[in-house]
Amino acid sequence: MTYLTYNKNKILLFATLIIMFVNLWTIIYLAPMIPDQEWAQRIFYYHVPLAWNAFLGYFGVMIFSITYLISRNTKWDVLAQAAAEVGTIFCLLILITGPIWAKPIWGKAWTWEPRLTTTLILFLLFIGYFMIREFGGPYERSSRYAAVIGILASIDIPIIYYAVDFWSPQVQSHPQRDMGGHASAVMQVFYFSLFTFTLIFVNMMRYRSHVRKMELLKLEEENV
Amino acid sequence: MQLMTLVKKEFHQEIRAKESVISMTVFSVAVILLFSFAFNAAPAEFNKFLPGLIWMTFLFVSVIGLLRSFSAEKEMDAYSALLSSPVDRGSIYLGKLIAFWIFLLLAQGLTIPLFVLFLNFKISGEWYVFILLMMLTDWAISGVGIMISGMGLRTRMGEVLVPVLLFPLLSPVIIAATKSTSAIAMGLPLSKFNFWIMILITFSVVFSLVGYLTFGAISEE
Repeated sequence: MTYLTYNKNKILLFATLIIMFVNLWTIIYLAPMIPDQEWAQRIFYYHVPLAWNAFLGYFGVMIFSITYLISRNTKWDVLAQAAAEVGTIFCLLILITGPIWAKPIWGKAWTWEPRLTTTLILFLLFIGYFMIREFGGPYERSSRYAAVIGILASIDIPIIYYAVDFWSPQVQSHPQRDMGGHASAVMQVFYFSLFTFTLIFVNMMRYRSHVRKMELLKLEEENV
Repeated sequence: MQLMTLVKKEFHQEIRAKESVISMTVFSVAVILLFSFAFNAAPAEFNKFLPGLIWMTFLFVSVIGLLRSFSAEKEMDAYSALLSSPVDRGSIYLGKLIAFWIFLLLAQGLTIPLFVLFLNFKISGEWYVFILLMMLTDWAISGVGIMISGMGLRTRMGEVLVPVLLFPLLSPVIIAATKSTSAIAMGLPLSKFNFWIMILITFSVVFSLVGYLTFGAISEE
């Protein structure tokens, strides 16, 4: 049974594809130019929704890991892994799109600004998360380990953020903090993009957890 | 009571095998030696980097110690015996944590004089403040470290996994320890670095608690 056997998934995927093209169109043609940033600003409609998706993913990892450790129901572990994988892909994309924007605007691709540093550390933590899933031994054990790492990482993130924030207060702060000041046309396009990316996130989560479930079923059949 | 027994067990093991403290100390001496060669070019600038170097050294040293901390359990399969004994899993964690914390402090106590002697590490403030800082930071390092090594050493690639997971998790601790050490070395009052002490306390409390609660899930077969 493939993912697209289900009609629900087919409709969701199709709708998301159409909305993605509409989103691209609104970003290129409808969004107004911001005077001092010109085209560089357009990445904002991608970069921020990507960060939102990464946040959704990692928040999911924390919730699903805790529920998995309490209930020991494989369902939650499957969701936690899917959330971690999707979250990490978006995290990588933030780390790529960020410097693309920063190079023309800040003049350099990377600064040790709190949000950047925290994202990088988060990304590294989740590389460790996947390593422990891979090398943790039997499925039962490695998923427990991964759940603990998922919880540790999500608790650590706010502490890292505040530590780095205080560590380099002189570094230029991230633009998102004054986002409310943008024109309403900008915000409309932005919210539409946010909605689109959330849909992409839902699709990816559903697909990944479906595949993982099938893998586990196959594993069980082989063991029987 | 149980906890005391568990800590005592760790001490017996350490006294017999003499693994952790000695390997940690020897390793830090080797690192200090390399530092003094590597940074010989700019002795005037060197003092600015020294707090960072000290904590980098201690971080690497703690990895060496952590890799040893579950080794006896691994080799003789004493871990299964420990787990089948009627003790709370959280207490096993705390026992390991306290023992490792003391070993780390001992190793540092032997190393700090070498930093003073070879690398000219000076403290304008009070020494006891620095020692308190070491105790706090070491608790934070041990709290996370014991958890990670408890997992890492029962997996393949444990020697790689422990540092890969530990370093990013401990990044706020290292920032806080380095900043506080610079402040103490310059003789600044506590009000200038109390934020970092707060970070260290928060980190230590939160992660010891998480370790205490989740060690059961880590140590299951």
